[in-house]
Amino acid sequence: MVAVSNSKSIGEWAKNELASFSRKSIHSSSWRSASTGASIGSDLFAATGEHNSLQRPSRGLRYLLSSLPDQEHLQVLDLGGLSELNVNFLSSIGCKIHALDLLSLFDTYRASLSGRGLGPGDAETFIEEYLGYTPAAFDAILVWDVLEFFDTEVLELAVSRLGQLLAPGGSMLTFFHTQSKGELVTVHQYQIEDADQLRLRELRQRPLPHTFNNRSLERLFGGFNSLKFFLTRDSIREVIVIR
Amino acid sequence: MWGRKEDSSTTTPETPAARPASPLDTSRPSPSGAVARSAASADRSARTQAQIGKTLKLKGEMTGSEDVYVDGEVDGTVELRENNLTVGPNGNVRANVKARSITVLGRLEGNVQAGERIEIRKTGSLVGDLVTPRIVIEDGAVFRGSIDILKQGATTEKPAPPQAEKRPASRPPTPQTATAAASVGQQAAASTGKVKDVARS
Repeated sequence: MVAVSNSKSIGEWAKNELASFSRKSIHSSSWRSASTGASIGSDLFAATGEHNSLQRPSRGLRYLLSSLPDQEHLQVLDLGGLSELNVNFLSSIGCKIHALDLLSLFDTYRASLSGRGLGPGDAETFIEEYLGYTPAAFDAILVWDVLEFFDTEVLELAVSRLGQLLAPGGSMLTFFHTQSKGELVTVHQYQIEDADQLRLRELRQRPLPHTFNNRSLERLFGGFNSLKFFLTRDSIREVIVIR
Repeated sequence: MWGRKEDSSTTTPETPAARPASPLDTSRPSPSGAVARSAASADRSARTQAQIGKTLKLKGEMTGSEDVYVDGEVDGTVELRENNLTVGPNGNVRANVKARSITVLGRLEGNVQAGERIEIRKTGSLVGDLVTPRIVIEDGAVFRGSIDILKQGATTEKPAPPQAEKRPASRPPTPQTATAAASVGQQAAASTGKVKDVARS
């Protein structure tokens, strides 16, 4: 448990981070042990000593945080559920956090349809129910890997709605596995340990309903202003999407 | 309707959430040190604690100056400015809550203001907008809404976020903030061309 103390403004923090980001050598392939801090330089994750908890660096996260506007009281939406680490980190840089576990809510919603599958209007109902925020309300959205598990219709509606929820110039961080449709992947909760370091809490395994590559992602986010891809060695493509 | 307990050294000195008998008491220990714990314990021993059992249902406004443990249903508002609210594993509270400290092991739906801290245990579910100087969240806890962390020394008297009319409970981030962010963002967007960049690591 970590006590929260708000200290730095996002401006002060971002200035330091941007300078550090541009200087820092890329180390996305180095996995750090939480206990020793030693780099083990392989595709393996470093165990943190906690059950089913891993660490990995995230250049996408660093980029997103560095690009936040220079002001306090930024609004950040976290779709990966509530995490104490995320709350502590984001509040320490002056952000207000809105959180929900969109994938679990989707699973619950689909289960409530009694096995009949998504019918006409169901996807719209789901999106309206759980992403019915005020347009342009958020400066950043932490989507993590939530989108890739949605059915096509929900996926497209969700991307469109997330675009509306972002303030102009706002960014969202999305993750996509590089494996093919049908392959089993591990779903994690992504917890922010530092500006470029995530702790992954393993939740469950589930099959990928889609195969994504750079081209299909460019199509999916075609309505946005820009995309930035970060390829990593752990079969996850990090994508920054900027409205 | 109210099962009242007088805390003393010979009876249960701690809040229900901290009782060893609770199924969730294997959770993380309190971050405060031993001295703080003993002080808190002494403080609690001077308090009385009301309990709403799991077969009880309460509708309306609850105010008071004693700790409350809810294992039943409460619908309305709860205001315990200097005291603690614990929603037990069977508790189901649909209310806006103001209290010194709030611990959720069951379900709580409503906007919550805490003077000290909010704790959501792994079996807990909280839907609403939170204002607190400190929050503790166990992995597995369910939450939907917003969290406003008060800076040290700030008061919880700041206006509560508007009650959500529909889900998500956190729906309206302040329009002023959103507008301000939008104006900054527009400048940024205006200076940003369509960029597709692939960075390999």
